[in-house]
Amino acid sequence: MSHYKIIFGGPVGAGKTTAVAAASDIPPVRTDAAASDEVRSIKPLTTVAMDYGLMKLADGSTIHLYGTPGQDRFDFMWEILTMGGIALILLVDNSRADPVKDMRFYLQAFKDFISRTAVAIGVTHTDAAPLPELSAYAQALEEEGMSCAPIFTVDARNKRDICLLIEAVLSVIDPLARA
Amino acid sequence: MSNTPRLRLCHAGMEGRSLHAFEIFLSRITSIEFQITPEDQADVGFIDLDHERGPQLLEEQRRLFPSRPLIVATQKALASNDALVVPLGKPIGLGAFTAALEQVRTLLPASWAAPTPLEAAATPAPAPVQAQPAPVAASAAPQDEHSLMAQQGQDSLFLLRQQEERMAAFYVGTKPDIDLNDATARVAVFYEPANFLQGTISRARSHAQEIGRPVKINDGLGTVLYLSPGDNHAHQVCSNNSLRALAQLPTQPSVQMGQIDHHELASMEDFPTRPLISLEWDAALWASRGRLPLGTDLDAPVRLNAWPDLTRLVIPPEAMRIAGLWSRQRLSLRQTLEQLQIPQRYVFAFYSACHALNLVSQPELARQTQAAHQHPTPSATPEPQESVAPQQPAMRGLFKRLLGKLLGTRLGEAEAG
Repeated sequence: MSHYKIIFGGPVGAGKTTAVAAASDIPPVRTDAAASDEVRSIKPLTTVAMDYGLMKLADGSTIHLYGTPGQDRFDFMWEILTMGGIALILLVDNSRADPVKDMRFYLQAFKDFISRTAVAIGVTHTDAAPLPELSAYAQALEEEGMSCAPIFTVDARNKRDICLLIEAVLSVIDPLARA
Repeated sequence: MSNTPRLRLCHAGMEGRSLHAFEIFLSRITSIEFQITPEDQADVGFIDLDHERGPQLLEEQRRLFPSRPLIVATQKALASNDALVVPLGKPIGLGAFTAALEQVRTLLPASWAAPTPLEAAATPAPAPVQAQPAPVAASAAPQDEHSLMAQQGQDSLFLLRQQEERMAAFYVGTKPDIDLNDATARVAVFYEPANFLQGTISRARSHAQEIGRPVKINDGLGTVLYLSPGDNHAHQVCSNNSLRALAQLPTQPSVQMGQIDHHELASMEDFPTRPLISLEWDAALWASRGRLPLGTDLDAPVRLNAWPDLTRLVIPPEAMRIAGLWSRQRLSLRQTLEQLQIPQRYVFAFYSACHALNLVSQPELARQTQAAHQHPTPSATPEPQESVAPQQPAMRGLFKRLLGKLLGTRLGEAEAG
């Protein structure tokens, strides 16, 4: 049976675990561990292997949602998790020191995967940090040669926001597909 | 308990105290089950024709929802040949309003009283009937279950599409497609943004940014908007209905921007606030109503400079697919219509709203595209996002089912997937 996957990537604290839980039709499976490094100042627990959720479709087929660990020392997991993936949802925490640089880093890290599929970017924590605005990300995307990637303000807890990101990335992959 | 569904009523032309009084009045009606709903979800509309924009609101309701019965209240005699309009003299009494509700109920289509598949799905199922042994192999059962689920999904999807259509009419109108090769008819697909509230807002924003102070927009009866350049927000004084009515029609000379004094600086904070970008987006959709800004070339490739923030802005119909297509290829508006096979107003409204926020442009010369149109080769235009994989029709079935589910989430309805 086909194993369709959507991957959630991005830095620590961007909301990947929350986003997978928001979009999932089942209670998500988490692989949290107590943070032991600089991550502890951001949150007490962090994803060390992956987060897993599932979207169930009418015909019984499923879409698997995988959240990657944010820390780059777990980057070996990124390659494993993206195998067979159909799209990347990249979440960026706007309250970090240089979120645009974060976005560039992850676009580079997932470059091969994106080149085979597509990416949509969600900017989180804009309530805590309204700047930079989306236009700054759009400018960086332009410089990366990806000006047409969807980029939205999102609340990772909000199912509608996360589903809109997924809808956007699917529209980029196949705009002729219609519900 | 009655099987008749609850009547969904929307109102237009009432604000502030009059709206509050109306809601108190409605709360005293107990003989008919009804509820106040947003305009796009209502079965019946109520309009106060004596409101300063009453005739406009009536005309707009008729245009947007031609088959919806309306209760029209007025102090004057109402001369209307519209069979779906129920006149109601003022002052309005409880008995008269109840009778009007009864009357509009008879004007609703027969399908109104029948539960929709979504409602039926939400209703507890009757006690199961003892099934006869089915003359099919046991292994067929799961297949049938999936078929049933798929059918239910299709029914829900159909209703979601209907709901999306109704919402679409609110923002992009109902203008039918025209023959774009007919030069005379083509004139009708263009509008001049500067002649609408959209243009006034744009000028006011620029002016406010230039002087570094908020400015206001008056409509002749008073202030309707304050634009604050510092935080890129607008304070909306009038109701959404009034704003929409003002934005849809060409602006009168009485609509002007003005400076604000110190008293107003403090008092404007009392009014609801919204991001300026969403105000400009809505104003462009309302002014456009499925048309294009004057000067747009139907045959020049469209460059999507950046996606609109569709989690925070109103999503016009088919916006995702249009933006997705423009992300992959620089196509002209005409080619976009050919590829997506959707109403012209959807593409034109989305282009107009993006144009208002400088998210689209047509950088190449129209005559180059004219030649391309004569020999249409979509792939001949540059690929703006080289990272996108070629289309994968093999996955289209999966995408369709997933998009159905996502549409359900988007519209806040039962999921179609």
